[in-house]
Amino acid sequence: MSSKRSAEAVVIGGGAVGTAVACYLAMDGVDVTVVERGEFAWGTSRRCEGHVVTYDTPPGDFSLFCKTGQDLFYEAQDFLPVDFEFTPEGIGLLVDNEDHLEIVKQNFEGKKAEGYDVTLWDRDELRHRERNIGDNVIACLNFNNDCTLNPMRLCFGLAKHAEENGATILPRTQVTKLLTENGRVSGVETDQGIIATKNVILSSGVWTPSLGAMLGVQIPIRPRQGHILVTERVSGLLSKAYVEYGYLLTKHGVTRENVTPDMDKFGVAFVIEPSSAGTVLVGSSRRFAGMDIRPHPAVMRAVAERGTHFFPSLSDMRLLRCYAGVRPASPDELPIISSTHIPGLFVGAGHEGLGISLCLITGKIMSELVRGETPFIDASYMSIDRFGFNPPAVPAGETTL
Amino acid sequence: MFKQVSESTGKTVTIYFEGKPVQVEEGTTVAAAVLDPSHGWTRTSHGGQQRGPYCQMGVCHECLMNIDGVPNQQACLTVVAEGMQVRRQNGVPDFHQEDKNHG
Amino acid sequence: MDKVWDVIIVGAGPAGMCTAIQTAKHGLSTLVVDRQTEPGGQIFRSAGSSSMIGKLGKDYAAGLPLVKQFLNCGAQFEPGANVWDIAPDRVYYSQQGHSHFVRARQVVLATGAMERPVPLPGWTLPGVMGSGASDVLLKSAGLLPEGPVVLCGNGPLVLQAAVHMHEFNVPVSAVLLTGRMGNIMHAMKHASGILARPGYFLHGVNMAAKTMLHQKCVLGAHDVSISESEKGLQVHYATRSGKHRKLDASTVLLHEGVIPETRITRLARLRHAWDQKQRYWHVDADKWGQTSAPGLRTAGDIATVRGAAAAQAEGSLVGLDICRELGQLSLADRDREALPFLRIIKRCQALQPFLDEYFAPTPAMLQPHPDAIVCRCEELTAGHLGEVIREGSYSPNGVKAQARPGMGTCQGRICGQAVAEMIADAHGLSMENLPQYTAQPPLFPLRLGELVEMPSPSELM
Repeated sequence: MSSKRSAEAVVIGGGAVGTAVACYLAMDGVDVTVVERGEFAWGTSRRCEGHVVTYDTPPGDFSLFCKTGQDLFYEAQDFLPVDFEFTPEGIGLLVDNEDHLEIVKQNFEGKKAEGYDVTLWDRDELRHRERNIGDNVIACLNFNNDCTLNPMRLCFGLAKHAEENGATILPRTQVTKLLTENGRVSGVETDQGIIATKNVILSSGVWTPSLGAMLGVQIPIRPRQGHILVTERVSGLLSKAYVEYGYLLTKHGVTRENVTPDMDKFGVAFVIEPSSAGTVLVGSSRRFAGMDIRPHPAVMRAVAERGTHFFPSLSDMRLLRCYAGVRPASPDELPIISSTHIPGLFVGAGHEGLGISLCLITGKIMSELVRGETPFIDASYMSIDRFGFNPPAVPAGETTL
Repeated sequence: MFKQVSESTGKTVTIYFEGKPVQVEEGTTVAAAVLDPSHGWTRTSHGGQQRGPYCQMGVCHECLMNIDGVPNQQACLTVVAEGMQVRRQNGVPDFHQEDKNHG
Repeated sequence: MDKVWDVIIVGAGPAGMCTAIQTAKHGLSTLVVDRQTEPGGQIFRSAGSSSMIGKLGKDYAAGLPLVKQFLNCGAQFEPGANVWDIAPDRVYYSQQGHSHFVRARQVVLATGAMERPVPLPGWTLPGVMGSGASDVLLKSAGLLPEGPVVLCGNGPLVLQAAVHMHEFNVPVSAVLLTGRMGNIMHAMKHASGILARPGYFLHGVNMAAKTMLHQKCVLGAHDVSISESEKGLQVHYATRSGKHRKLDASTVLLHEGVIPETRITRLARLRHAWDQKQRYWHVDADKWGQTSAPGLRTAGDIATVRGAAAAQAEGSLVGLDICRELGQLSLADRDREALPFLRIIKRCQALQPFLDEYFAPTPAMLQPHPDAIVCRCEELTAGHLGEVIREGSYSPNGVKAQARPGMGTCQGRICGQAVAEMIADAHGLSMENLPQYTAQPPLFPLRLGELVEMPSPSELM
């Protein structure tokens, strides 16, 4: 890279959100450069399961936001130049407690009213579809449009498509400083030279706070660790991805039965996904452990134990590897998609477990914010202003390229 | 394909490769024991290629076999035992198939 | 489970056995785990029980007294114990289908080396194996190929295999030597090192002479590939003058030198260094085996490949320094007891530059033919991986993320270095800047049920 470059916008971060932001900016005709310290999908995006989900939210605005975000993937599979193993087979939520059935039914009716393709299987139907399911699983709520994909191929595809639309892609480039002039963003200094720009988008997941701090912007994102187990290749174990319903309940304060002290301690909830390669991914845990991503046998064990509760046959499968990642968690579990009080500085981060699900919609909205347009869907409640840590952000529509 | 250059200890066990009895020296690894009866082909890869043990020391995982009904065992790290049932690991373990094997 | 060992040693090869002999002798409680059923490692494989012990030369015969000394030294030996995770103060292992974790004040990794995997077309065919595999079969089961055999590669172990084949009347179609002819010129600059180990050197010369005398040798063979034929296998190669030739074989043995098996040291997140001469990564440790993680040491070929004699001396030094650290030996006593071992290492080090130059890997061999399967588990060819690399992947982890090499059952042990060599070549990067695949637990595939049945180690977090 030459010592001096320029761009209309610079995206920092080559994960799912960063590459999606770059992709939409490029498609919208903005001269954009992506800076990534490693390669594409280097941080959390290569350490996650790759679900595009709508099940994760109670009916309401954010639920519709997720659905709109998911629709974009059905479009993207047509225009992205890379096969990202998009698998729109639906995701099922497994219920293992009679007491939860009432809440499940309410959720089912609410989502149906919002226009979701949802079905509810009873015990017999579930057993008919999944012969290896555990005896204690009594129902399954299916989100038939939910999908799985390969996040690493997705990031690569988004970066490639951005490049084909004129973006500059700079892997293995580390940001050392954010530059300002008269109070507004003027450039990005990297270990490969300076890029002059009036717009910088921080899409760096758990690393976003340290970048924001360079300009005195407080971005409340904490790393929340998760473990995923990967089995050897196997056939005939299961037909699609599942999540335990209890996972949603714990997020909303309902306690689960049948969990061990370790599962509680590590925030273990069951997630399973057959990968396109034939391996099976089993997750996951949810706890604050700093930036540590070295898997720990105690967590691996708890995740495996939870897995065998839902699919007892998992016991006979061999574990090939376990990896851990850190999700960028905001205090209220909503992402930050926002301008900031520094003109030209934007934040698209803090999606926690929804980084893949919401990467495309974040990219699309961010392109609108950067170009000074009003977002096509209300994202005002994702403004960084809601935390009250910083002076008020520059209002949407008042930023210009 | 392989020949014995050491004297026999006289202590042998019988194992079964694909159901056929094979007499081998005690203490031998399964990978060594089936070299001849398998013609070096001890598994089929998930893509359908014939493979056999490459390193004999636990590194390459090419020697994965079904031993006593358990799939994907490293034959080079498993010592033979009387009556052991050894089969090629053909493709990936199938969970429907496994259930049948376990009866 | 409450017991805390003074020392746990992973690997009962020459280095690990010698560490244990020292720590046990000085009164430290010592546990040795090894995934094989007998001590000895690969070089002294089955030395305690093999009927071949008197028939394979004095180097192998030296294993028997060592194994006996080890088994009587007072250390507890757990055979068939497959370690699947480690930390500076603990080891997790699987034995007969059950997992255990054990704690220690010091952990030593002495898990040795492996043959450098050099992919070439047809190397996945049954009947093709590492020359080291044949050596294991010979030592542990008294088996040799019936022949005809084609030996192909570079390094002293190719010559040793050729000698064994001759001594046991195994027909050899040819020995294809892939080393560069010019290596000897570079090596001679270090000829003075020969004086440090004249016996070892002459043994090597003797093996080479026997091989040249009794076997058809092809020097500077290249473009090697293997295919199936009616008779078994067919080896294709080009001679130094560029002529293409074919050979029939029932067994093909490949060998391109020996490299440390670093998956365990990467799993422990230890600092590594790149050896430019022998082109391998090795753990960065001092002569007492101390790595970048306090409490975690390495001994033997896992750190630097120098053979059994050096490994034994290194293992002894590591044992002595542990005795010092745990208060069993004063610094002065450690230094005094270390003297003979330091002398052995000095002699080995003196000859090493000569050997490193003489058997330096041939660069062209390290760039696989597009048809060669590089990742055997995931069945990925060099042609395919090359495309992914050129498309914009700049590191082994990057290629792994996009195309899956290293995600199969062997967990990247076989393809890791080959993939790195391809990236270095394609993008003009230096290997030093291409860190190896990140190693994740478990170290070996582990049954999930076994993990669940293990007592929870959560108090160790």
